[in-house]
Amino acid sequence: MAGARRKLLLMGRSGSGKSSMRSIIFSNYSAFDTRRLGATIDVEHSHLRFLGNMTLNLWDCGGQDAYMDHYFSTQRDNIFRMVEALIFVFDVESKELRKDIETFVLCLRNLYEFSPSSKIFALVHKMDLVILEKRQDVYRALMKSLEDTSAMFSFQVQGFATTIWDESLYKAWSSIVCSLIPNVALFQKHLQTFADISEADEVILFEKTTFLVISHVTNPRSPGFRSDSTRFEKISNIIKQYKQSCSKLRAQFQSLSIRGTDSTSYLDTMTSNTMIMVIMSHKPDIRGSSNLPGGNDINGDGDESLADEAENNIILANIKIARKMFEKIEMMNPDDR
Amino acid sequence: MADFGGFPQILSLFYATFHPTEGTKVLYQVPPGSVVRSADPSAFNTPLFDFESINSYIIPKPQLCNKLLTLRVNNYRIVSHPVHIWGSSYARNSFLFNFCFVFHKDADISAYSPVVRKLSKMFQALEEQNKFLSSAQMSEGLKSIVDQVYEDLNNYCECFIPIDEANSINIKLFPLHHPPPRIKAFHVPISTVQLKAVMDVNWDPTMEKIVEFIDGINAVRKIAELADTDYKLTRKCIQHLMYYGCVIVVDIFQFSNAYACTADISALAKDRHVGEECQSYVASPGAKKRNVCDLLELYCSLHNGQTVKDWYIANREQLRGIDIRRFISFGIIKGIIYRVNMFPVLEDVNVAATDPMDKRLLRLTKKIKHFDDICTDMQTSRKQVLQSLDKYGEVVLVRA
Repeated sequence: MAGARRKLLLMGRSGSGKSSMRSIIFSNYSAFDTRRLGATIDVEHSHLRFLGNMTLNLWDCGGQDAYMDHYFSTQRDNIFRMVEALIFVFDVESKELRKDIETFVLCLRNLYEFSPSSKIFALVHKMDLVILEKRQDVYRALMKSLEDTSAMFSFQVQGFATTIWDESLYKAWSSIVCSLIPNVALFQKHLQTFADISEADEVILFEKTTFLVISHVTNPRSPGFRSDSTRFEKISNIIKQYKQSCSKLRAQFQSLSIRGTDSTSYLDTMTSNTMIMVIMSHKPDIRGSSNLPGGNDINGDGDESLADEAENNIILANIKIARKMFEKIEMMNPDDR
Repeated sequence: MADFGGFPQILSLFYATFHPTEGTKVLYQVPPGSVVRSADPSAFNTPLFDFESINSYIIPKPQLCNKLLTLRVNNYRIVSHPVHIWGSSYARNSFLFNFCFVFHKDADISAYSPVVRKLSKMFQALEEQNKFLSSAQMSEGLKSIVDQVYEDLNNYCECFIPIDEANSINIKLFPLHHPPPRIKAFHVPISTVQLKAVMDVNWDPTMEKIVEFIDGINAVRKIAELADTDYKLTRKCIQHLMYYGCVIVVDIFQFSNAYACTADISALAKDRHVGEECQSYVASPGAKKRNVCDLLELYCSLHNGQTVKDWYIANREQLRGIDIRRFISFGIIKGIIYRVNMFPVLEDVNVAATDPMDKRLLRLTKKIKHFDDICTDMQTSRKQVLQSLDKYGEVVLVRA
């Protein structure tokens, strides 16, 4: 069984950043590397396996005028048929925003005809070029027009403000890809169970190659310092860059554990396509009797390391046990519940 | 020279490039209006074809660039060599361009392939050296170069344009012949031109020596022997002469050969020129020309099982005044008769060969070779070959 096939259209004006995004998320380019990319000639097709049961068929469409003319005339049904999601990229620096919106409308019109159940995403890109204070306004202004036009075709557009220079790109693409995963609710459900059993503060499931967030569960009773709502995409961004650095040194990243003052995070392989991050806050009883001010790592060894090791082992054992379940979910027929 | 109808005309020559925001566009075309609409009063009313439909092949994906590309659209064939140059100084890190030649779809464009390649490579070098194409972006100079290439190649089949002190366009059209087939030792070359008249002091010495022995009777091996030249070199020379259409190659003429008609025998009856040529060629010196009907009847009387000797005896009266060797040669050259070869096949070798000559003979018969080949190689007669083979088992003769 080939799994679910999802055709994604990536469209936008020439030079808006479509191929750069694609290469960062799906081809391990760093943001800096994208400067050596050339113009996309016609349509670049990529087939990306995502998890075990989904193939993303990404159509990166060159944005030059000559190509756009084709997409809306001779190539109409080839381009707009069987589309699961349209990702339209707006360059925030575009001098012809009016024209860009018109192109967006043309896409909607054609999708309405050929793929009326398609999802619509709008990325307001290159936000790093807008000064911090103005960003919210620029984004909202554009989204207003897009929401109005989408409503005309009974589409609901979901927008994101993005830039390749921070984690916002990961947030957008995680949301986009997750909306296409056939049984994402199942992942969520089982991740919740895992979190409950492990008594973890937070559990996050990532796709292994792209490091996009598939699902996350937060324990509502955990201490309130988890207030940064962008933490998930930040982790994606940071770990992916770390992985790239490791591979430059010919080392394969396998797992990570970070011990902080209040909590410990474990990042390890879950299945062949996913990695799991488990964040455990330090329970008072595990710490034992060591109440030294300023932290508990003065000696390095001793009681603390035993307790750490115990916790470490428990987590790893839990992951191992849960692995089978998650592998089963991945391999499931997309229509199963 | 072999039949050469002339080089096909270039119907249009245009220069296209990839613009960072507009995409593929035609920057210049000659004649005006031939590829995209033009406001020029002298332009074509409608372009030759719809450029929109093929523009993705004019500036194709990088994998198809830097190669010769031909594509057919309606009644036209476009030959081009798109170039892709990487460079961080360009917008979007690359510069793509293409000089395209448009011909009629049935034209023989083989002579233009090297020209198109050469022109592209030259412009690529010019661009890499001093941004000749990207900076000027349709300067008058480039327009006049395109005009001149178009005019000169169409009118004179060659073009010389100096561009600057270091570079110039220097192209000439040469007809591309097919590579000649392999020549065997038993093949007999017949000259179609007066070789001695064409020869000059610059010719290869081996060539000079063998020319006088090319008489339509001597096989290649024999020529090498008579001229006292190396056999391989002789063979190469004959091949060269074949390439330029100066000789054609037939089998050794022997009375023990057998010939039969091909399907093309009707050409003799249908085509008046062939008939007339036949009449004059086959007539013996001093004899009267025979009429085409008789000749046709004689050709038809040749068949598989009969040697030329027997056929001659049977048709002696009708063959008066006809040169038999020329008669047969003409038929072979024109493809109206074919040679029936005999292949000795040795079944069940029951005695081991001791004689080295015999060993060689046996080895030759293992491969599929006919008598001419074996005899020329071993320098023996057919009878001797058969006698030698008989010692080793039963010989079956296959005619084909």
